Amino acid sequence: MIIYNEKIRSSFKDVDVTVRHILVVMKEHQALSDDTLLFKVSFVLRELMNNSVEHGNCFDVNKHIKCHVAYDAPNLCIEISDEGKGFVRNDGYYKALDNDKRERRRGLKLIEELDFDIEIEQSTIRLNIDVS
Amino acid sequence: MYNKIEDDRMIVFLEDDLIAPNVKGFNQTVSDYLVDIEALDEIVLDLSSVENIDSIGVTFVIGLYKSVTKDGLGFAISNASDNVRQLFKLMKLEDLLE
Repeated sequence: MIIYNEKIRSSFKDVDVTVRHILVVMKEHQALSDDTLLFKVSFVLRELMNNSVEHGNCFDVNKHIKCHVAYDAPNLCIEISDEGKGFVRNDGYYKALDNDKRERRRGLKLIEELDFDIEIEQSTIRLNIDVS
Repeated sequence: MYNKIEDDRMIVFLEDDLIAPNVKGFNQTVSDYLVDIEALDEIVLDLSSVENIDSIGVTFVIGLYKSVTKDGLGFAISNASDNVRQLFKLMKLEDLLE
């Protein structure tokens, strides 16, 4: 079941509107309506798409972010692509959470801590979480 | 956002989610609050109205923490939801939670 499959503009406001829409759709399905799951999905979608706005598309509102969210029981799949040069997994964004009050660069390690599996292919990131 | 002074502490209430589109406004408002705080011992950030949060929102909290503690005041977060509390624990920021 496709929950969302659109291209959006590169702005924090567009990210917020998109995430709120996805959460509304998820709440309509019993298997996806758990409060903690919704909180996690909200956080990771914002994390990935805000990163695309800021780093991938460099705040260029003429560039787009593709957001695909689908549910195929028991997995919820999230795929985010931007128009940047691609993701470098060993840059600071992926450093371990070994320091408590750094102001940025928490990223992917935190998403893994929230139980998502992560695949990266150039400027596309795919997440999977078992929601059973 | 609004604040309330109780004895020697200022409680700062967020009325919107702690997310990127709101952080610029939060920073502008809270910097006004912190202009004259010599008589205070602690700043408390009340998150009772916060349902959604992102890393840029967390950055705002850490920046506020650093600013307040640099001036010798205490800092704490109050009334965070269980989900927000769990996220702060994952981020190793549980010592900020009241």
